[in-house]
Amino acid sequence: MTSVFVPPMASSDTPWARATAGVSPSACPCRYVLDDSRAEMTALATSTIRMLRRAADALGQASALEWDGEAGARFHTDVRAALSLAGAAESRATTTLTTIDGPGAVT
Amino acid sequence: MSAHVTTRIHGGPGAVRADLDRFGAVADALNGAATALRQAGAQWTMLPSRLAHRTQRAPFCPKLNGTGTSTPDMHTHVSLDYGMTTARSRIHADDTTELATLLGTMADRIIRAYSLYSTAEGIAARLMNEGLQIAAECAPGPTALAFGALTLGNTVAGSVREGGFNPMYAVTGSWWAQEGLLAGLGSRLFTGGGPASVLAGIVSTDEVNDAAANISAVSAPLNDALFGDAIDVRRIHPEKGIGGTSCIADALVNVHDMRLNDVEYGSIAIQRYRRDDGTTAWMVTVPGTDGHLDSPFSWQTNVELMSSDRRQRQAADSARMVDEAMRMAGIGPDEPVAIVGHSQGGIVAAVMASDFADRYDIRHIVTAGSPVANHPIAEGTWVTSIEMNDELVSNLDGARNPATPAWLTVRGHSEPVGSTAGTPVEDTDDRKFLTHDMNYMKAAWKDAKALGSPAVAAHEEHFRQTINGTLVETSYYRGRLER
Repeated sequence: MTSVFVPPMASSDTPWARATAGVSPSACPCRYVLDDSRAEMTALATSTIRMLRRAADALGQASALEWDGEAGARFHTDVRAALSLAGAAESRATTTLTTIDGPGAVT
Repeated sequence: MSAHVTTRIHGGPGAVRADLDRFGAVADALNGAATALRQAGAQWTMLPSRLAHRTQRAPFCPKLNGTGTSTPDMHTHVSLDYGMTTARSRIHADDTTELATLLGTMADRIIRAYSLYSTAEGIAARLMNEGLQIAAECAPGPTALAFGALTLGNTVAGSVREGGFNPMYAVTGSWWAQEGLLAGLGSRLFTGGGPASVLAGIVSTDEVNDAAANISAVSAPLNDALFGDAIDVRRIHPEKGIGGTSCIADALVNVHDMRLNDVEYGSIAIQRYRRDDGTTAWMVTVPGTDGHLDSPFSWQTNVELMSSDRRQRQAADSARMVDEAMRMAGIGPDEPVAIVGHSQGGIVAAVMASDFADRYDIRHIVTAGSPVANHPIAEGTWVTSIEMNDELVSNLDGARNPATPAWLTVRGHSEPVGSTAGTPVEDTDDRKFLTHDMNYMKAAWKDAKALGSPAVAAHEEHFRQTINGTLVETSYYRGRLER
């Protein structure tokens, strides 16, 4: 069977809203949805940080290469740019990690 | 938008083993990190839809579905801030994808500059060529049909992409099969394609040159009878000629300028350089086929130049004309000579370095778009070959050039129309051109130089040292066939 995602509806005066208005919080699985979603996003952010550190390690090795001439200079400029990009990306992934575990992620 | 080329470098003096290992390890590490980040980027891109899918597990939750805002127990239901998660996902998808692209580009630059996979690419190309050659010899009919379907398919696909008929794709789309099939054709035509011929073909690469020798045995006397065997070589003074040559890029510009500046057909340029120690060096510039029947650089002369028979190559009109012009210019047997040639001009350069080595000290030749893989070039002559993967002409030898310290091949790959990777090609637009044009050769060399390859730098230095002097004079010689 194909499952279909039902988009959220803003109004409370709809047949859907009237049908779901009486759902008991203790019986609602929304808590599990929240926990699983948080776990998935946390795992992805954590693995992204690991990959970004691996990239930074590779870039560290690249920065140690001795490559003369214009092409070498261009390469080392790119290494520095990539290191900066990796650092900023890691910082943003860390922010996501903090945010997703905090109260601000829940409405 | 211009066409673009990227290059691979084969042969030339390599970096020391330890350096290659170090560069190879870094390229592998960068590529590995790029692959992982690319996968992470894909996961971040998909995350919002995966999270949305999870909400279906609570179909009646008023909060997750945005309903029941006035329900008294609304505050006890919970939901992620999906606006926030979508925004963060987009940021991380962009970050990881951008970084992956940059790392991949850097790894590619190392691989191309240090020819890290050149040997493997050479072996793969050889296997492909031999496989196609066997197919062409054993099953010529089906192979021809398959090749016809391939060229037709490429033409249709390319024309649809461009939005108009462009037959150029028939040539450019089948480049990977051309060397092997031509070798098979050559072998089939003159050996009959039996088991012995197939076995012999696996170990040899000069089937096309053997075929050229057989054809020349008939075509050369016919050519002489129709257009004459004598060559009148005389000095000319064109209104506009070529500039000085101090590097390979200059040499490529000059061989192109011979045409662009309307120097008479059938002409070459010879430049005399005075070195600091008082000795003389020479630069010979040889354009390609001009198509005039009374020119030594006619179409039919190419067959003789490609022959596996030394006497036939030496007797080719264009080779004799260049020899005569070099003699008239006064080039001594011990004076260093560099020769650059485009297309047929490059084959002539290879013939001079192979078969006239007892008359001239040819130290360096530069060939652009020339099928010279099987020419027996004298030891001591450095060869810098520039080719495009899909130009056809340089594939006519049916084999890849030898990859040795003295023989460097810069193989340009023409990027798909619309791509901006690599180096732009002058005077091109968003239509596919025949990549045998000199503009592609110049762009390929420029791209190779920009890689900072030690092999390319070594060839450039050898070329400079061959001339290494002040330009004294540029002479132009024109050849005409006579009866």
